[in-house]
Amino acid sequence: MQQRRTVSPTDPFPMVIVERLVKRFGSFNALSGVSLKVAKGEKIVLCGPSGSGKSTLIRCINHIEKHDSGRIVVDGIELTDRIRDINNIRSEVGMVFQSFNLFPHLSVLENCMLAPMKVRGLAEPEAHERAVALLRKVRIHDQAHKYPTQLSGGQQQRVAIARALCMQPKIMLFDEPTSALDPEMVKEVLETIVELAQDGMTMVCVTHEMGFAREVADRVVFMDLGSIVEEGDPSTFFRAPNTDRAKAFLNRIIH
Amino acid sequence: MFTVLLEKTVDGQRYIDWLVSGLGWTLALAFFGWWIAFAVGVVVGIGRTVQNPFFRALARLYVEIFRNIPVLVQMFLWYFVLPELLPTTMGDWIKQIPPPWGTFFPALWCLGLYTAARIAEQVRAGIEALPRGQDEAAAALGLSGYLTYRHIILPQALRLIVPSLTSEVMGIYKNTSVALTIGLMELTAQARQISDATFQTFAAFGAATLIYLALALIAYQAMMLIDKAVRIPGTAPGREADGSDFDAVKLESPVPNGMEIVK
Repeated sequence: MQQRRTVSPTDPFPMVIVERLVKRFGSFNALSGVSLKVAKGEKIVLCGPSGSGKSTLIRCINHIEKHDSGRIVVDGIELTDRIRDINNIRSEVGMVFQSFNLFPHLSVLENCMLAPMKVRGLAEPEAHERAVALLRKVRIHDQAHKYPTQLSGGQQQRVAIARALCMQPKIMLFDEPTSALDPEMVKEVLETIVELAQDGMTMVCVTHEMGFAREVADRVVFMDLGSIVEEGDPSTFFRAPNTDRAKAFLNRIIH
Repeated sequence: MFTVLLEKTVDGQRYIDWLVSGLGWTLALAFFGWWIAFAVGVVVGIGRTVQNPFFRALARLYVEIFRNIPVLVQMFLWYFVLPELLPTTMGDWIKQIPPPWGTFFPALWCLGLYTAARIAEQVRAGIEALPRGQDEAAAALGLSGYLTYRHIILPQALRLIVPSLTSEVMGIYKNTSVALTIGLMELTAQARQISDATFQTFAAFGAATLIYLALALIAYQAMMLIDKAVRIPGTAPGREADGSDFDAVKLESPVPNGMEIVK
C-alpha cells in the first residue's frame, strides 16, 4: 500500500491553506468558518450531504465563488481581490466540473491547447505536443479532432481532465466528477483519476464514490451544514465514524 | 410591361440606369451600415453583460435611445438637427459637404447606429443563453475576462444568433429606403423619379419591388450559408456525429410503433 501523505502540524509549506472560511448566499451560510490544510501530494476526498458546502469550498479555492471572510493561500499566494493573484492561482489550480464544461465550439485538441497558449504563452507546437501527450495519458488521443458533443460523457470528462492537466497545475480540484455520468462510464473516469493520484498529484475531490475514496484518499473530510464535522483516514472513517452525522450519512449512501 | 425602363431619359441615359444607380446607393448604404451596426452592436451587446455597472448602464442607455426612436426621426436628427447642435464652423462644414455624400453619411450613421442597438440586444441574448459553466471553466483555466469573451463567449454567442441576425440584415437594407426622405437617391427615390417622369407608376415601383425581393432572398440564402459554415460539428440540425445513437433511435422508433398500430 502506498504511503499516505497528510499535513503534519509542523508542515511549513502546505499546498493549500484555508482558514476560517465563510461564504454566504444571501442569508444562507454555505460555509461557516471552515479550516483545512492540504499537503503537497496529498489526496483528500470531501464528502457530505448535498448542501453541506463541499462544492462551495473547492469553488472558493480557485475563486469561482468569492468568499466573504477568512483566508485562502494556494502554493504561497494569498487569494485577495487582486485580479492578478486570482488568475495566477487559477492557472496553478486545475478544476474538473460535474458537467464537464468543455468548450463545444473547439475540438478536443483545441480545448486542451487554448489556455496553455493564451495564459501560459506557449507556442503552438509545444502546446500541441503537450495536449497530445496528455490526451494519450487519458487514452483519448484518437478522438483529438472530434468536437465535445461527438463524445460520450465519460470521454468528455476525460478530455476535461486532460484540459486541466495541460496547464500543469500543482493541485487538481474535482467537483463530483462522476455524478453526471451514466453508471457504465464512471469507472473509466475514476481509473483516470486514480492514475493521476498515483503520479503524485495533489488533489481534492468531492465525490460519493466510496470505493474510490478508500483506494486513493489519504484523508476523508466529512462536511455537513457548512462545517467540517469529521476527518480521518479512509479505513477508519468508513469502518467507524466518530460522529452520528457521519454515521447517518454513510448509512444512507451505502444503503 | 417594364419596356419603359429601356427608354431614353432627358439626360440621355435609360431609366434602368437610374434604377441601377439607386440600387448601388442602397447596397452601399446597407453594406457599410451593416459593418458599423455589427461592430458597434457587438461592443454594446458585450457591454450589456459585463460586471462593471457603469458600462452596463451605458450600454443599456445606448440601446434604449437608438432602438426606441423611429428610424425616420433619427434620420432627420442626423441630417437636420446635428449640424445645428455642433459649433457653427463645424455645422457649416457639414452642410457644405457636396451631394450625394452630404446625405449618404448621415443616412449611414443613422442606419448603422439604429441597427447596432438591435444587434446589441441579439448579442446580449446570445451571451446570456450560454451555460454558466462556460464562464467558470474559462475562469478555472486562468483565462482573463477579455480572453474569455474573445475565445469562449463570443464565438459561441455569435454562432447562436446567426439565424436572428438574418432579420437584421434584411431590416437594414429595407430601412435604406428611409434615406430618400433626406434626399439620397437610393432605389426607392429613383423609382419615384421614374414614376414622376414617365407616369408609369406600376412599372417603376414594380421593378423596385422585384429588386428588393431579390435582395431579400439573396440575403436570406447568404445567411443560411453562413449559419451552415460556422455550425459546430456534431450539433443539430444535420448532425455529423458518427456512432451517435441519437440518429439510430430516431430512425428506429417509428418502425416498431408503426407495427403496433398495424397489429
